[in-house]
Amino acid sequence: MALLSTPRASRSAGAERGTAWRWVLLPLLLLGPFLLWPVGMILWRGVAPEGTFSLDVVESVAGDRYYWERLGFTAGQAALSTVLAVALGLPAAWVFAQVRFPLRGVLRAIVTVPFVLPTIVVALAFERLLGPVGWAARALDGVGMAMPQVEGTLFAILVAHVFYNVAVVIRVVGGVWANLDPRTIEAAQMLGAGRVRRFTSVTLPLIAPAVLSASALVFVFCFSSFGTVLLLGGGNPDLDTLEVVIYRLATRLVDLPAASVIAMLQIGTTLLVLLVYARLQHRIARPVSQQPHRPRRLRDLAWSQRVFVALVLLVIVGFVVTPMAALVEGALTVGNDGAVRLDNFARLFADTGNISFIPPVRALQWSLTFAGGAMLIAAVVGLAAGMAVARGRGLLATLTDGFLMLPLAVPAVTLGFGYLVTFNREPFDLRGSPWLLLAAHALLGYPFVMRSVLGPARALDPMLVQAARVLGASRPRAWLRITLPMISRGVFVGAAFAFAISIGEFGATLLLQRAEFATVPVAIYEALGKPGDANLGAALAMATVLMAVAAAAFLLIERVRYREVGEF
Amino acid sequence: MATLTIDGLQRAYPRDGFALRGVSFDVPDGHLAALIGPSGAGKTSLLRLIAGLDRPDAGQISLGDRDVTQVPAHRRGIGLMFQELALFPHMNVHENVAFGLRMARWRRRARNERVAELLELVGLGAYAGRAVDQLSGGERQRVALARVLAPRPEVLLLDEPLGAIDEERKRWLRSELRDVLRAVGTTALVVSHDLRDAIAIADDVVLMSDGHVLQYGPLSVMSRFPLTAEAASMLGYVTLLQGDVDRGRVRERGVGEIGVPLDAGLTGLMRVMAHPSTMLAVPDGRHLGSGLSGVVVASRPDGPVPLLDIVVGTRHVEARWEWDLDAPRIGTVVEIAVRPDTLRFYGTAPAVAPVDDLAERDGALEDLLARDDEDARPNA
Repeated sequence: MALLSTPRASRSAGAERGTAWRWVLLPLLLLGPFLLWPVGMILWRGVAPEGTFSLDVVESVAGDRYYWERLGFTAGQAALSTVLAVALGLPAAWVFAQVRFPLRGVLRAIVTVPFVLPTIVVALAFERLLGPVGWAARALDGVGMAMPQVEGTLFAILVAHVFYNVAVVIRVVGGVWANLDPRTIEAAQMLGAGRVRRFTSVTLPLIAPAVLSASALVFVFCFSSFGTVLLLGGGNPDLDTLEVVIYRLATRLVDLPAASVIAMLQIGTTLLVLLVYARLQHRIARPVSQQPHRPRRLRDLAWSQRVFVALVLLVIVGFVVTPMAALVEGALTVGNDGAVRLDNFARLFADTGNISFIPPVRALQWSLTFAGGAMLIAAVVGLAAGMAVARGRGLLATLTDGFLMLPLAVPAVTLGFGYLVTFNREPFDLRGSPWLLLAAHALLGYPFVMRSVLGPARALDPMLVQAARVLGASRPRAWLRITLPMISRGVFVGAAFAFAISIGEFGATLLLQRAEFATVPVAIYEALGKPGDANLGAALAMATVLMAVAAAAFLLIERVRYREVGEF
Repeated sequence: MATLTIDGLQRAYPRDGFALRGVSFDVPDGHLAALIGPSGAGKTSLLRLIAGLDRPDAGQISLGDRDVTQVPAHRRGIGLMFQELALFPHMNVHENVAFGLRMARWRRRARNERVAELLELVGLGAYAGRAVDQLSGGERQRVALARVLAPRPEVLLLDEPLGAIDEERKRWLRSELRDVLRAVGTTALVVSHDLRDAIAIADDVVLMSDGHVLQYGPLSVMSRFPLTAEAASMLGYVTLLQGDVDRGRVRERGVGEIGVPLDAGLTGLMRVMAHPSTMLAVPDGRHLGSGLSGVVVASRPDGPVPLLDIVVGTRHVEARWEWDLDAPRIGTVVEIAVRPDTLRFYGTAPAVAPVDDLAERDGALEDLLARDDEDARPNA
């Protein structure tokens, strides 16, 4: 019964304390030139646009009401999205954490897939579902009602945000909820607490840090929203988030100093929220249960509870599956007068660049290449980062944690923009180089590897390593033979995320891409920009393929599941 | 306060390949009973059924004359102290102890008084504001005890209350626990795998093995008259001899023979058991009560008195050497001297007999008591 949080365990872990710094070196190699430096350059561009320090641009931006409005809107929609995601995700978290039902593992994986889907795929899917000729419209038409305009409304964006992020709530909160000591709840029961009182007096306070932690993450993701807004916003300027503003300033208006100031604002806000998140994580990190807790079977529940479970599953799975189904339906029927045919898919392979500017097969090859490379880099760097934080103690660990999670604070467009203003002169003129894009993808994916590794790395009993060393293993060998195998699952799961995220990456890619190495999301975006059913069909077909690849990669590697101890 | 009556409780646990069968016993009002048995006997499962955290397949649980079998756990009026303690990590000591009172809607002033009273009782008067994770193991134990006592449950269940304590502290904690429980006067059932807990704390004992009750009753009676060999073994008796009865004597080859009391009335295979507390090792040839001899194979000091490990036939028997204080050398033949009225004779088939009829057993016990008192009178 090794209690990993007892003073004894941490005393014997003290010997490992000094090794944290060795692990930080590798992540620094990636973060230094490809994150810190670009962020520094952004800052420099904002406060020294002409080369000398001047706050003119900052003042002019601060004085422009438009930017304050954008900030307010971005924060507001992120907060609203968070509330909705938590409202939907909390009951689902309970169901997945505490109840055993058939296909539990499969459903749980399905519900997590939205998180790794490309923004462009999601946008298209919702368009097929809620658009003027989508499923909803057709259904309402059947009962003689008109479909209200959804594209270009806040509603569309909120729905898409919740679609993405409900998985975060389910996994983060669910992980903690599943590990709650059932004896604590039973003790409350024996002291006279009925079901409601048990929840409010015991369960809720104990999962509260996890809920807040998940909320912080969801807020950050929604605050940094780009693709969703760009595509579902329908050009409505009232819906522009800060990332979209940066994009427009950088590419359309080419006002790089102003873009820099907004980028700093973006980074600053997300950094603040992430600091809160990091503090909360430490409250959850201690293992709360000493006993493997078996979720209850359906037949052990009261009838009302069973109905509740069925309802939650219906809503959640329906909510997640319906848009994806609409997308597939669109890919099969657009351009065929409603008949189901594989023409759109066939055309993808036949197209060698004559019809579209970017041949789909080439685009897919590039997507897979980038994803594979990004996954490998992210896996190695994320592993090192996870080890660095796991081996550190106290304040140093918190700081290292926050520092190594920095990429989360620098969203895709901001990062891409940073690269544009950094690597644009000799000897670092990497404009138009695929390596920049690879670095961006790796950076965006590696925090997920780190978080997935951190849980198991922290939970690993240091006595196991000491036992190995006493039996004659050197430090590197002990790490290779004992530590690595035990945290390898974390690496795999994180790598799955990194792969899927890279496959679907849109924001940075849009800024850094070139036709020679264009990826599928870019190809889709391009196809959407052209008129005609053939192009729409091609876009839908590519989106379907992309969705299948992202989901498949994620689901396959997710089969190597492990018991979550505060992942994410 | 109420009498706890368990009648014919049954629960199958197919996934663990185990079942509670026909469990029946009662704990009289205000008594402290110990539920003793090896691990896997079903003690914790039984406790959870009584508490209401689990439903039995059949049977009845009553508090006094109130049938609570169908009453949900939080309304049964039964307190349960968990082996793992299960203190609420997000509440301090005061809030933990006050929880049950809040559920029962006590007003604040009464709550605070009661909490203070209980913390005093367990010796944690100054700890009210402390965070739970700052307490030592023993302190947490006492908070858990105070918490379960606060709402004045009719019946108290304690699951291995001395479980994770080291031996030194245990001895002292046993008497503390007994004092607290007696002071409060609640009917209580304490689960333990350790007989010494039972002896120190309880009035009555319930012996459990493999899902059913072997025997239950006042500890004083059962210690002297375990009804079956298994029960005797659980109460600390050891086997001296096992063999066929022939002309009034039990004989085992290579071991020896012992005279069977006339009223044992059994023929066939018989096991003779005795309790170490009534056994002494004496020099060979003294014929002081058992007629069994064995060879000393080891000896260790129990304080100033040597404790000998003696091989009798194929069995190891431990006995103290108080003849003088020089331990006999290894290889010496010594005799086991036993108080004859403490020898117990058991037919060996069936070894495990579920005791179903309470009246029959009570009757048998009374007979044994009466008989033994008669025997004891003439010459002690």
